[in-house]
Amino acid sequence: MNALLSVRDLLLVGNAGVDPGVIVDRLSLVISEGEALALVGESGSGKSLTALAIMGLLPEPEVTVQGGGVEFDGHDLLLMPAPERRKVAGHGIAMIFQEPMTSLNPVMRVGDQIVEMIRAHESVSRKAAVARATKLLTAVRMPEPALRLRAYPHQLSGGQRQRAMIAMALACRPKLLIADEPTTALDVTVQAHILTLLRELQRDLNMAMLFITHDLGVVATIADRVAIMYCGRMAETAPVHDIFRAPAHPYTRGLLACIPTADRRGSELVAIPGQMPSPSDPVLACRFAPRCPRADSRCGHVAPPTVTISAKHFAHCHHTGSGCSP
Amino acid sequence: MVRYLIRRIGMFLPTLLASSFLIFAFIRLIPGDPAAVMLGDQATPEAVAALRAEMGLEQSLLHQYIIWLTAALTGDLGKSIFFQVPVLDLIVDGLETSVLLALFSMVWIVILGLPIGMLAAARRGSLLDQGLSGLAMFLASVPTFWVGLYLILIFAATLGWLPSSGYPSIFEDGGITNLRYLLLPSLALAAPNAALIIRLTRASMLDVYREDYVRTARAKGLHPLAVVVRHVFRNALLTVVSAIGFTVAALISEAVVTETVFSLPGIGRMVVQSILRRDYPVIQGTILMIVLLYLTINLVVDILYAWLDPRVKLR
Amino acid sequence: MIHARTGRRNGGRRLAVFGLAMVTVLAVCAVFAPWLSPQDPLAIDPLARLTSPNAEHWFGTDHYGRDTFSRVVHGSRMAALIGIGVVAIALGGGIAFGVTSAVFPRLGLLLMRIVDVLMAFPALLLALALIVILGRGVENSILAIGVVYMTTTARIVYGVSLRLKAETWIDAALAMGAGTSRIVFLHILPNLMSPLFVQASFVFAFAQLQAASLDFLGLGVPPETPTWGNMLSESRVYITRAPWLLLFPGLMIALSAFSLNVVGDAVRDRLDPRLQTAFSARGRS
Repeated sequence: MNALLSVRDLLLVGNAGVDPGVIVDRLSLVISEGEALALVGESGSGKSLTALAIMGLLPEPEVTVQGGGVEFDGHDLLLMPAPERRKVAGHGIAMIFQEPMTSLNPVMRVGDQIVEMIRAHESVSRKAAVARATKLLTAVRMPEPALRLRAYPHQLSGGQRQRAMIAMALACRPKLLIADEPTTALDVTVQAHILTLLRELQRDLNMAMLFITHDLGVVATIADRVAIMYCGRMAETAPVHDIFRAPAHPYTRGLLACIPTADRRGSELVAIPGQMPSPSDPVLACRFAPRCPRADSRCGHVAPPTVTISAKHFAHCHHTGSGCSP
Repeated sequence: MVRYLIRRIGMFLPTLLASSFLIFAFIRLIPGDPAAVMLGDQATPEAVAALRAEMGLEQSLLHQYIIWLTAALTGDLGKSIFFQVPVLDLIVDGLETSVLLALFSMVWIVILGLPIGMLAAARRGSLLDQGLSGLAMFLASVPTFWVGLYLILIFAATLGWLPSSGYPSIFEDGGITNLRYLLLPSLALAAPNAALIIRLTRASMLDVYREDYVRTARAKGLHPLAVVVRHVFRNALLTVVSAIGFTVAALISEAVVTETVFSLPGIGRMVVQSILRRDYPVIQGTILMIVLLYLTINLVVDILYAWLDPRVKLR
Repeated sequence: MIHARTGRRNGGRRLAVFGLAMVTVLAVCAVFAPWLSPQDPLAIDPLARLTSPNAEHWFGTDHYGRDTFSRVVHGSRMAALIGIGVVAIALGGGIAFGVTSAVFPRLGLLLMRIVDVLMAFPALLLALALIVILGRGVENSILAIGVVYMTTTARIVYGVSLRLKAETWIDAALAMGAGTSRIVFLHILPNLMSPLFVQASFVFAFAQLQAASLDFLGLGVPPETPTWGNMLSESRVYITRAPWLLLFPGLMIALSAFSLNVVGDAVRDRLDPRLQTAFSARGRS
């Protein structure tokens, strides 16, 4: 499979405000065509800003790209002139956001917002675009799609709004969909529906997906592969079943220990001690070292190596050796 | 929408009624016999006695108010002491000037306030933004009549481009070109209010820029201009529209002064002159008319707002 | 959170410092006017009518040959007096109405409706109507303008007091047996201080503009008193021959309103950006 998106050594730096400093530190990741990658990390780990950097939506000048490259479909997005890049946004890569409540324009009908997306990238008549918008709403299983087309966002429920967002994102058949915590703000029951919908659509349309979440619990349903981020750096990447079966990075193990599962019923849930450092804190060679149960003197000043566990499984740590969960 | 309309009008009528009562009662607060006050110094005792009966001064205050309100509703606002003509005629005469002046100013406010505010927002933090914002802040603190006097000094007295005072009706000789008489007054009247709209537009554009749906719009790959016009501007406009009612109040207040500076035959100057002449029926009638106009405009603005913002109709 | 308006903040701080400096200058002028003005502001000199600014008359003279600089300096006295008087009435009345309305909800509904009705009158019109009843004069100008801004202040106080009342620590105070007056004086009033400080600086600024308008219309302070509004009103006809008569008094009105607006803005932004909705940029006009 070809790499559709490859992010190389992405360096994002915050310039102002409360937390100046490196926010995303030489992060690399690759997504193949039709592949679903879950990018997992705590809030503040830089996962959302990575997504915004790919889309070219960073809140500049507070956060800027200071190095690295983002290649999509053979073109470097960061070197692209703005008009070219706008063609990629929406058309090649589409994005949906965490808050369906605030991510839709409150004074524009849902249908018009979908139509706007279609007509921004394709020269089709308004009528044809409306027809396509209806089909899209049907595809995301919106009840009474023709009616919802004329509704304003506030007239829809949270789940319906997120369906509308998905319909809008899929309008131009993007090759890659970036979903930034799309279910976090929704009720638990609705969450499951949206996750299943996204996974089905992703498979049916053979679309690649970058699914961003802080919840390792949902990745099994949604992703083929998982990338774990900690404090702006990549910790571990692996196919979904390897992450759960054989986590190599102490941070991953810590995260897994936090998930209540049926087979661990009765055993104690363990929280990772301490807090994630902020970008302005002094940088150690391994950023997880202060919280790591296995850290030693090496972790403080020798950059962790990239350890190949198996063909698609990499961890960035001095202590990937076997050992059960902490 | 219908329910909203009913509720909004339900707020309008009591306020109008209560303020009309205040305007009615206000004559009674002036020392002396209300009938004598309304007729002025030259009135004969017979005339005062006749008016006393007409105003129902022997009866309760509420009764007097009903008499007064009924008369006002049929257009009878009394007779001017100074001109000896019905107050309503004087108001109708002044209406053309005042309404045109206000409309003209509104045009200035919109064509100056919105674009400059948008420009300052688009270049936020730049020297241009700081300059424009500082200027707007200063203009918002400047007395209207001072701006007016400067405009007269520069464009009328020194350059001789425009007339400095008066306004012949557009129905008289000169027709539509008579509007040039309103150019300087409307600009003076607009200046501080345009400054407010600049500040407001800038602030609300910046607020909206930070909204999630603007990020969504940018994620769609829309042209930046489309993002600004369809997503940012429309939502920012909501805040600006809701400030129009406020601007109208400012316009009315400042029109009183502006009409005096430029000697315009409008309602505002009539209020001032009538106060100086102690022509109480005219003061009462014009204030009633101005409050009616103001409340009506506020009603219209609120309905306009509801029409622009789909969320209001549900509430 | 990332601060999107960093650039503006620095600019805003510079402006605020300028505003504060201006306020100080005006206060000094008001207090030390007799010592600061080189001449008697009322002294007529028929030989020096309408002289342009020179070494003797820094701001020139008016049509009676009176020294404009001295008159401008003395004008700051009346400006300060009116500002302080209006703020006292607006805040005193506003607090009384607002807090009473918040503490006694039924009475509050009625009082707030009265405030609504008073707010149906454009500000200057309400002031003019009050002047008609009271007659012109310094105290009456202060009273009329004070009542106008009492309405807005009452509304703000009412809103903030209601919010405070809803907060749990008031419940706690009630539970501990605190009386109404204790709650008002110990819990509500102290928390009103900062929003009221902001309101005071805005009201002071608006009072300058409204008082100048009344003076200009010939319905404010008696014409023989040197106020900036009266000076502009008297010299209207001479502005082409003596533009300095237009420049200096007008500039003083503008600067006094501007500097207080800027200070109010800065304090408001510093206190709580959310308060912005409670205060409008020009109050009532």
